[in-house]
Amino acid sequence: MKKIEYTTSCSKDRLSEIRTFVAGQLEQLHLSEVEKNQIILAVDEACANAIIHGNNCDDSKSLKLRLEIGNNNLKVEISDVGNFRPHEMNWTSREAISDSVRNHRRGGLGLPLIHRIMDKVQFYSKDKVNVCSLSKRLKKD
Amino acid sequence: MEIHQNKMSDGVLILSIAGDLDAGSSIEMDRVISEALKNKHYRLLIDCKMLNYISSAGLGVFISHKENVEEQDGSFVFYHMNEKVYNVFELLGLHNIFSIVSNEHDARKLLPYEKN
Repeated sequence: MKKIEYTTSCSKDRLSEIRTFVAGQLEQLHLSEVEKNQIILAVDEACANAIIHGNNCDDSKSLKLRLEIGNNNLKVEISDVGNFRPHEMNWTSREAISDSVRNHRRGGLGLPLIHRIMDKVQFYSKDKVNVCSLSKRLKKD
Repeated sequence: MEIHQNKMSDGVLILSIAGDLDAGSSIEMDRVISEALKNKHYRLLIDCKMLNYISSAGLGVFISHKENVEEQDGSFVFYHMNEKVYNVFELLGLHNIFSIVSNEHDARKLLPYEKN
């Protein structure tokens, strides 16, 4: 099991660096380009939510990523001290997608994407830190 | 991300997107499309050949303008989309809502005729 941590600031300008970091860590897993992109997308969406909705793009605040990469499993934890608490929202992925498309809203698609890509999605708060925990079983070659 | 605009003599506007369309760059994408609609360009071809990545914020830009474009008898037609980007549309079922074809020739055939 490989464990890696990465800390950055709560700025949208950091999203590209986060994607590059995650892509680099996934190289060893020999995933297809589509599978790799899906995991990068799920992490990017979770980080964008924390940066924009949780921390109002305040780059003096930190965003921490923790990756655990095993042979068959990947776990990513994204933690911050902002105000975005999706676990307190009354939300289902199916409703969110159709609402966004029907009402021509540009928001509300990030969480449904995360749920479609990852096997387990959890949000919790502990000691004023918000954690988004994403897990996915990896296909064996 | 970079957006190259090519205004064709038949009134079609080709927007070629290069790089990553994410939560940061989607603001520029929105500005370019808003300006195109303000200038009455409703027949829009989106060349995705150099588009490497799209997130929900990028998708949201096209969703938010879709009704406006169609109310003016226009359309968005995407082409040259790579497998990774197409898969993101598929994950949300948006490949059934937007027109996505392989090349510019096929994309032009899906555009409505220009309004007189």
